[in-house]
Amino acid sequence: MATHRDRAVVTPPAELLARMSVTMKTAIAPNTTGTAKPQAYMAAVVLEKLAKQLELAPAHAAQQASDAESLIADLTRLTASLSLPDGTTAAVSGVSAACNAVSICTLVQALYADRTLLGDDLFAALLSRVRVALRADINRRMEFSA
Amino acid sequence: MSTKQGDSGSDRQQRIEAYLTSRIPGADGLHMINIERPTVGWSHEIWLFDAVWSESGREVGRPFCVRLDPGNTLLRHMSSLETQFRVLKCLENTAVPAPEAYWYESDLAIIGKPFIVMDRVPGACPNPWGSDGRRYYQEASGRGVLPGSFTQALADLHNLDWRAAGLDFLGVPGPGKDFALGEVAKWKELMSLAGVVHEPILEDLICWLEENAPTTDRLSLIHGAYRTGNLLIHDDRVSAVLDWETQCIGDPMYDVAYMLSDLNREGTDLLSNLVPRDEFFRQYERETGLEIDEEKCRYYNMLYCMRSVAFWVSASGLYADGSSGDLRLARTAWSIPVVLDRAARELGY
Repeated sequence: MATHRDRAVVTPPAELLARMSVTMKTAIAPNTTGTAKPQAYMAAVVLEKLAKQLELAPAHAAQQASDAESLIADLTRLTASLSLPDGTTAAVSGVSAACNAVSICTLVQALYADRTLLGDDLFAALLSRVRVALRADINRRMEFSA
Repeated sequence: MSTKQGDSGSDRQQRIEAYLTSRIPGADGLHMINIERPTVGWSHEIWLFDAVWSESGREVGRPFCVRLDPGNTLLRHMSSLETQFRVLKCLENTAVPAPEAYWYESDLAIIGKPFIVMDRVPGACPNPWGSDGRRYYQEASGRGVLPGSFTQALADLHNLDWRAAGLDFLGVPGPGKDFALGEVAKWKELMSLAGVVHEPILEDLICWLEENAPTTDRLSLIHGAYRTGNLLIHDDRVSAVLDWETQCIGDPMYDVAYMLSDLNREGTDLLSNLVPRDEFFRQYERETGLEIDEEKCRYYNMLYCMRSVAFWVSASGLYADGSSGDLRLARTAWSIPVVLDRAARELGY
């Protein structure tokens, strides 16, 4: 049987936040009055969401890195040996150099801006591939937001 | 939800009393009673009360609503109290039910914040997001009077001769796609004021909206957030349309899309938790002479997704930068992914 001494000295932050959320919801908010009461319940909700986000962060970061690698590989394959408009070329390079929200935003903008030059098929192929990555990302965020 | 006034607002109460005394000739010993401070809503500090005073030896009473701008309001960059005041003045003596606005003051020396004094219209505003509110609207729908009044008020809004009412100061979109593109630009600007936002799904959505903007055939006064919760109801009828913060001159389908949106109902097929869809279509089209364009409504619902993101970015930013201590605003940071998820689904992924 675990004893007090067997426990980690420092409670993991996500677990601590989750416990604080429960305390806020069950012990503090019910004993609060006036306009502070809904705020106390809202604090419990915020703490709960923070706890969940923090708990999932390591797994999400790993999945995100893996998805970024796949996206870069697929974009490289889809655009290999093609002569692309300058804006799209630069944006694809940007994603390859650092795949993050900023570079993907730039790529999305470039794809729409260059749509005519790219042609409907290539535009659809590239945007669809980006959207696969975006769907995976939003699914992860929904795990702690919904 | 409302709270009874406590001591913390006593200074403001005294200032409001002094102001009203200065405004109402012969109001001797004016004081406020039955004070309520509604805590719903995101934008303004609201005082509801009866002012009573002695006039030529007899006691006189009058209900008032005072709306103050605390300076850190949501949508503060888009809609000032002065604009709201002007809109309400324009709506006087029209078919649109709205509170009569008496005075607007920008002088901070008076009660510390800009404010509007207006009539306190009789009625209640049940919260459609709570179980009590949902039950209220469900029962009202069954009685059959309020749904018609609700639809009629929207038709009256869209039928209003806004030029004659003097509402062209809101800005009149040009022909073609000007209205839709202008709305996209307006909400982009709001987000940029809240800070730099890097959300690829949002970027995708904005690009799609710019590429697919519909043309506008008829311009109307648009409320911009026409739903239960933004209306006062008295005796099963709409007694006042409230929350004049997102109004504009534009495509009436913009409001209709908001009505049709399932974002504005919960656990029911009734539009805005109140109106049967077929009845709404029949009455609205009959009263306005407009045919509801569901394809346009789909576009405007996508625009509402963008607007919601802008709204939540602005709201969560107010908490994050210390402008507001309201934890409801902090909570909205997690509403952003929910709306983005919806937008992605609408875009087909």
